[in-house]
Amino acid sequence: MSSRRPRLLARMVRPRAAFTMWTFMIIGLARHAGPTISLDLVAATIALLASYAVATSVNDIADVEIDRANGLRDASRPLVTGAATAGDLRWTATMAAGAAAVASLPLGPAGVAVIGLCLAVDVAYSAAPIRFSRRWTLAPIVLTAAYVALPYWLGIVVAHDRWRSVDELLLCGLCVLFFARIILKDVRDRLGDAAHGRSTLLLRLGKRPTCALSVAGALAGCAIITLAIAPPPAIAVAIALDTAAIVWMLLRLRREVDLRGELIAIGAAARAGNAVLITVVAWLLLSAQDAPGAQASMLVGVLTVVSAVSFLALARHPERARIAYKA
Amino acid sequence: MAAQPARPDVRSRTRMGVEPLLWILGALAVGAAALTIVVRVQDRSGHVPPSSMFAAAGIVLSLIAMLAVTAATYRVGVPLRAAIAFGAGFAAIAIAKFGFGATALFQGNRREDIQNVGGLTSGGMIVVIGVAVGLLYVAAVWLLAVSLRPAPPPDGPGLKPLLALLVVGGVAAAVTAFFATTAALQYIVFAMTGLEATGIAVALFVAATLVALAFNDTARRARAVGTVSMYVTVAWVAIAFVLVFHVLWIVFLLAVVALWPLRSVTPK
Repeated sequence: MSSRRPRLLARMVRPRAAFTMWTFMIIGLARHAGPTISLDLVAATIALLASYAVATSVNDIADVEIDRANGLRDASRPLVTGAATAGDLRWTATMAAGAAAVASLPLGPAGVAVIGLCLAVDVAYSAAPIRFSRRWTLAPIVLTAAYVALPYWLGIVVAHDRWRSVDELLLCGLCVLFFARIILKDVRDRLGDAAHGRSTLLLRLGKRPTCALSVAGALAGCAIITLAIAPPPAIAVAIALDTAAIVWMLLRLRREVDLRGELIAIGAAARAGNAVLITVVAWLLLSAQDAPGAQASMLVGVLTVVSAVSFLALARHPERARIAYKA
Repeated sequence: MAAQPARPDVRSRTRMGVEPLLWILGALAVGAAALTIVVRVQDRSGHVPPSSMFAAAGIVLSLIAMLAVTAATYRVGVPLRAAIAFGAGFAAIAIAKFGFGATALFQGNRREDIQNVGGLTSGGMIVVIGVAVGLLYVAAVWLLAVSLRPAPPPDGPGLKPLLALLVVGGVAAAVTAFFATTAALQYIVFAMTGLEATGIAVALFVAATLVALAFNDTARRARAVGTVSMYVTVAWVAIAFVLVFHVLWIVFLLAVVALWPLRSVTPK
């Protein structure tokens, strides 16, 4: 049997974005069960990755003309480069949907329901007749639900727990922070989007208001997250530093006129956003085990220093960056 | 422009064929089996971190190291055999550091308190240990790179950075031990005298042999193709991985001591 299609299936799980979704699942799990490694976690991870492959496959088929117009000719867009046909991607979507459904079975009815919702949103986002991706007000909201809320809920399922009131504030903060990030995803594609009449928030509002909205979202999201997890002061300071880094990059994005510079600013802001998520995971895992605040702060301090080195390397030397922004 | 003619005296770079892939898959399977066994026989006494946790961390990190270091060095341009030797060498380092080393620290600390002149927290002591031991690892890798270099400075790596590193590190270690904590020195003693010492010695011997083999292969290829820069790049990649390992070790142990603090005494 040819290994081309299985390799294509593996390629459609774009690791960076898939890892972001997985992080939100881990936050849900950490909030409810602390440090837990189980077969359910493995099954949920496989199901989540497979469902993401469905999303990318369906989206690549639906947006092939726009992707061509935007010049997305790298290995992650096999349909645009000619490395795959629409039939190949339909095959990957079908296989990935099957894999997601099978992997969700050990998680019980709740797991099957969450993965079923993920698959439904994946298809509805790109495919007719609903096509949320063409509705500029709904697209970022649906993406936030698909990337954050559903994986978080899956994390609760893996923890064998149920929705609690403590989840509301944390999930709200995570969603707002992610919304601030996802409304910038169309910066790279705006020329193709405009040429094909695709309406996006960026094209409707313009760059400056979109950046302002993103700054407001980042500030609000980080503040809500801090309130939700009630960390020791040192960890709150670490989150504040990460937030400042995000805002710095968003302000740079607002001034930037060169596309490469814009993408690097978005990438650096996303890197600082990831640092916030890692801090949240670290604190939730340690506090679930009754770790002293001072020791947890020390750990978060080291993580923040590592993140800061990585962030500053990108922010101060954008010329060294390799653009690999696929969102 | 005409293509460069092939060099008959240089073996073409081996492509990642089926056999190396089978070896890597075999290593992953053995690692997964070992991990399953370790997780099933967890010892949860509660007063000290379970040794099985360190064993599991060592296995997981060694598998990640095997894949990451092999891929990174192969990408730089070293022969496949050298890339796999680098990967396996770093896998052995991961087992020594995350498995045996961490176990030795806590077992040694059960027998003997750490002298903590400066009143550091457990996390502070872990950072001191991580930095000091990290410098030793960097020095060892640089020494291997210098010993097997294909050309002397300025093209190849020189001894001066190593000497500077040892002088600065030695002074810093002495000052830290006098004014803050002897954690780094005591960790080295625990690692060389406890039950885990044999495991650490074997793992580090295997690591040093494999890394030396890899440097040797790389040097031979660099001489053949006349690009010493490739050798220097590989040396820096190896040092970068050593540093990444130590940051990971510090993060991992900070999480562990948050739950199981180190026992220490502050002399009056």
